[in-house]
Amino acid sequence: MALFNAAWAVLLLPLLGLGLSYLAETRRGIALGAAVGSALTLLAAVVVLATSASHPGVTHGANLAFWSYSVTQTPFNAAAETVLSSTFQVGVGYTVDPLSAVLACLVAVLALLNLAHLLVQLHRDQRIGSLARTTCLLEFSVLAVVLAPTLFQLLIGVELAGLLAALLVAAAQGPAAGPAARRGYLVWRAGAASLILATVFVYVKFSGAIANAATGSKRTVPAGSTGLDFVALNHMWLAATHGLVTGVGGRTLTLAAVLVVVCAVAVCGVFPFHGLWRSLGVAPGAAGGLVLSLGGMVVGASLLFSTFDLLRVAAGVLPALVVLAAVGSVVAAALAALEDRLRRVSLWVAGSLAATVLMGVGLGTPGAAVPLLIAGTLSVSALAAVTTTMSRDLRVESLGQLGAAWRQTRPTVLLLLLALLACSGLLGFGVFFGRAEVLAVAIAHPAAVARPAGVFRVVAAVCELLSALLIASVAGRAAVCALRGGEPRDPREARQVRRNLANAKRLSQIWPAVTLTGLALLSGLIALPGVPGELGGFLAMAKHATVLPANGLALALSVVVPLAAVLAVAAVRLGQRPWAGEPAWLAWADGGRLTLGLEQMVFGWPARLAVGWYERVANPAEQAARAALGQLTARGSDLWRRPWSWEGRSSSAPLAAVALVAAVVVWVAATHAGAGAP
Amino acid sequence: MHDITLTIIVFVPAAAALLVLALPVQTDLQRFRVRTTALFASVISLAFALFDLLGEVGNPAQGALPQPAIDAPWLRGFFFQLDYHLGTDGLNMLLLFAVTAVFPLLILASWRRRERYRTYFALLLLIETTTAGAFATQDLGLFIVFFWAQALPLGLLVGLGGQPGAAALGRRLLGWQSISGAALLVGTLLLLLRSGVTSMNFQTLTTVSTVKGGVGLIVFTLFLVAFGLRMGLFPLHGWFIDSVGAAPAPVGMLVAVTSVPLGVYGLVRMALSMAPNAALQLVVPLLALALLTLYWAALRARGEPDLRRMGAYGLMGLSGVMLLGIASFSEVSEAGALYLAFTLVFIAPLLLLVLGAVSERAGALQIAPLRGAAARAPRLRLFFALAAAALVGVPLLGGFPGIFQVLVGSFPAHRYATALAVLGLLLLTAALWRAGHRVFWGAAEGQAEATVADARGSEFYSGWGLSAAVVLFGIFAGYFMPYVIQGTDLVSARVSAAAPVVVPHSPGTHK
Repeated sequence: MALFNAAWAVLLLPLLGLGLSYLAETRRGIALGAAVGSALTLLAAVVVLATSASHPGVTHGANLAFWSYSVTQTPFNAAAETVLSSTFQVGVGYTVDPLSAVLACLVAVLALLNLAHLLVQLHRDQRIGSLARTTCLLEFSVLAVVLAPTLFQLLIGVELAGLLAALLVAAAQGPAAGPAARRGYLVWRAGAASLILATVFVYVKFSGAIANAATGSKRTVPAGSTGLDFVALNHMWLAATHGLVTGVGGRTLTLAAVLVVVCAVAVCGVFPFHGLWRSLGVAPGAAGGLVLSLGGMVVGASLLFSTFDLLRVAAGVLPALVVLAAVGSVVAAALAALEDRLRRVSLWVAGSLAATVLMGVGLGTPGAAVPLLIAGTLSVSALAAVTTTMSRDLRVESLGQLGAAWRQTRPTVLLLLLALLACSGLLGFGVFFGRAEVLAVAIAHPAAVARPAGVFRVVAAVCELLSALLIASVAGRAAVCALRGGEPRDPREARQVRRNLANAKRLSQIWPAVTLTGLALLSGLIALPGVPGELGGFLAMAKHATVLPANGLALALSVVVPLAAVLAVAAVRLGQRPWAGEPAWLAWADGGRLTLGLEQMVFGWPARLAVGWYERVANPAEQAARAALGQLTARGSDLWRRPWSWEGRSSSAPLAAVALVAAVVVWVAATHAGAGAP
Repeated sequence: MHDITLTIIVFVPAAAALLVLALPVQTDLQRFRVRTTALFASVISLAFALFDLLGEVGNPAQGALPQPAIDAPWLRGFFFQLDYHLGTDGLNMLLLFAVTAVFPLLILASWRRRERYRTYFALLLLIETTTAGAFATQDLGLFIVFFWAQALPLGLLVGLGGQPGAAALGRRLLGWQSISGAALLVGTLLLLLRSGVTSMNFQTLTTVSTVKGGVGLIVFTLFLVAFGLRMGLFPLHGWFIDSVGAAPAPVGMLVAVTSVPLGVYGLVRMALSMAPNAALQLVVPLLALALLTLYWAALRARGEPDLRRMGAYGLMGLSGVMLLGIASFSEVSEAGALYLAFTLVFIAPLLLLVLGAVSERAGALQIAPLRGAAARAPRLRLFFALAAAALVGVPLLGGFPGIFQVLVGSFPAHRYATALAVLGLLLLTAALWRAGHRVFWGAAEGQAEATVADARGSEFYSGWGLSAAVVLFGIFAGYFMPYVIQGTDLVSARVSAAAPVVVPHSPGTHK
């Protein structure tokens, strides 16, 4: 059990990496220091996972408070509400159960490989130091979310992860990085604002009841509960459904759950927040976009896992999440299918997979979503790493250029196709079993904790299959483009392409991308029944009752549908660059124009109105008044000087005289008034 | 011992100001002596303030009543009594400490100044005395003296800035701050005349005086004008934006750190405590004013082409959040507003230090030509990121504890206003990030990049100190908050006592 203490190390070792990076003097040393911290984090996470696996069902937690004080508050208009009485405690801590241990391992692996990717790709770049340090902090933030024992730590982690990911994106070179980071961060902060409101709302509504429950004669929550820790909150959410919490009913629970869901949807970039992915797609330096997408997937899913008890008891929230995620999954997959640029393809695929993970949670079985989350993050990470490598080293940016690339740098293109294979879940690789589990929950399995009505499950199943089909078609398209595509017709352009492709690195030189792709391809196996330890089922049982092996129908559909898509794409006769050019409507559909339009609506015209009002009305009026006053008090003004001036010079003397007389009058009057009083 | 402590904190800078004026400034060594004298005096004040702070914060119960008090009669024989009464409690201790802590850093930020040496540092020290005096006093009359006296050195400092239009700017600041002082004076006179109380001791005034009805409304409105002007509340913010945005960077910082916290403190200590009935009557206008200030600041910051004025609008936005906390009349939200004012004393100089450094070195005030100008200045970029993130309430940084407390305290009473405030903060984030990505992360264009060097020397140390304060007071807010809440508890109780009796919900009511 003492090994549970290694959880502190999991949380704090990224900060050690940050410290080590400051001890180094060279750029490579800085990145190595950060990577060492990340490697140690991974080691500690594995130890914690092993300990957790040997004690299934045991949840261990600790908290180091740096804010803690008692506060009682009754609002002045207490007729509206009567709240809060509790010890307010904020700190850093952890809760270790099998699920959080696995997610911590996942985060550590991704951070380590991302740092390795940075080292390989950017070892001569000046920015590598700041990028590595920011990655360390991002890893800490995401781990704080994954291991969060309290809602408050969740909020802190979400906020910091968004800011740091945006800083990573902004650190990239090129004019598009800044706007992409700004839009990404705004979407993220909109979600975080929702979580702030949720935290405030939950604290105000539940903390008083928790304090009473913790100190009452029949103690129902652990002593010392702070009002925001999940153990006490889960208890209270359940109690509220039975009418046992004063002033809290279904409406309160639903509102809190909706605020949490809005945050999760925003940080995952799910429709209607999918503009986040597009913005990142145009950002140069996909490392930042990659980290944000992974941060988004893991953070969003962890948020829902931690608050699942609330989502479960709040009426109508899980079905709404299913519909939103289903639509988001299909929209993102469709956009990936229509997209020509490789980096955007990877980001749309990430968006679709993130939405599918949320759909799994919405179907009432978070355990079913875990294998997909693990496989999805690894697959997306691999795809982004490969597309970054191709873009940076070979200048291969679009599907249309894959033909020429295939002829000259076959291993790299093959790696790309394998990463796409993992993302599409074809032939049992990558996300296959994770998708199958979600599909199984939707169409067949009755053991869900909070099962939405049949119509929602039908919608989920249809959308899951549709998005799988679309993503598989992307993989098929890429393969066809590589195998059948040719070189550019313009000889000059063709020469340039050949020159770029001559810079191709060997696979051993891009080993982080290769490792990630290998992990991604094998990642689906954790959900495969029969694998020693049967990790998927173990995970599912540990968190919530859920499906174990996916049933035959789901497995069959998960094989047949993507395969059909690939075969259909291969059967179509392809032109030279069939997807070149972006139709105007696509820009609207993919969220870019939507984001811009919203930005204009929210910030644009009100800001212009405010500025216009100020410049045309307020400022001229003020200037005119000041000019008039200045003219009046000007030394040479006859109007001022003749009647009032002191020797024709001073303008302040008469004013002082008037003020003095007024003061004397007030004083005399006041003295008389005071004298008359008893 | 305690009696002398506060007097030392307040008046050592003033004594040093006189000494500075007497020192010669012909050679570099002599100028160095002037700077060192100013720095030494402000560090002495800081040391004593820290001593007081550590002595009191450890025992939160002391926040309720003024602890180290000196109370000596000063003016008698009028219809009011004015005492030399200094003391600290939960409402003012942190702010007093913040002011004394930030002045050494401001002096460091002015280290490379070349012109009007003696005048500049003497005025700076006088401003420290008046600001610390206003925070330390427990007598309304003495508060008015310090409050109004602050306007003159501040106006002179702005007027002596040296940039085009500096004199007009100084006159304008002096004029508006004098209006603020006059409003406070008239309100106080009205309060005394109406209530029949002669003592101007805060304790007496808040427990004995009762001004209700129309007179109460007038008194509260006058106080609101006086302190709202200092906070830069809409529509009285013009002078604040111009002063912070156009004066030299260290002077702009000075305006921000002396005016806004004093306004917040005045509203809590005086307006709410002395006219609670009127405050309750005006709750809706106060909320509207808070949100209007926040949204106006956010939208104007979004459209503002001038970099430093954009920063000033950012600070103005926080004034709106603080007013929301005050208008919620809850001890938690009022403590949040005061804590936000406390951390603003460090956030505002950090933000203005960076913006001033960039615009000064690039030789451009507008954001557009500064595109990517500071992309290769990592220290300035880090300082900006910290200041901007703290300003919009990113956790573990200075602004967050105050903002969160304001939201927690105001949510039960005004849930829609709270939600709107969160949205307003999001707009403010957008505005700050827009400027940030253009200047600090955008692609470098033209010659601007070459002209912006990174923070070095005294500027770096000043920025580093402010950044450390922003992080430390963001993380360890819990150490100070109980002490502040003890102070606001009394204010909140007074407002609650003035509120009409309400019937609470019966147990089991579901919403």
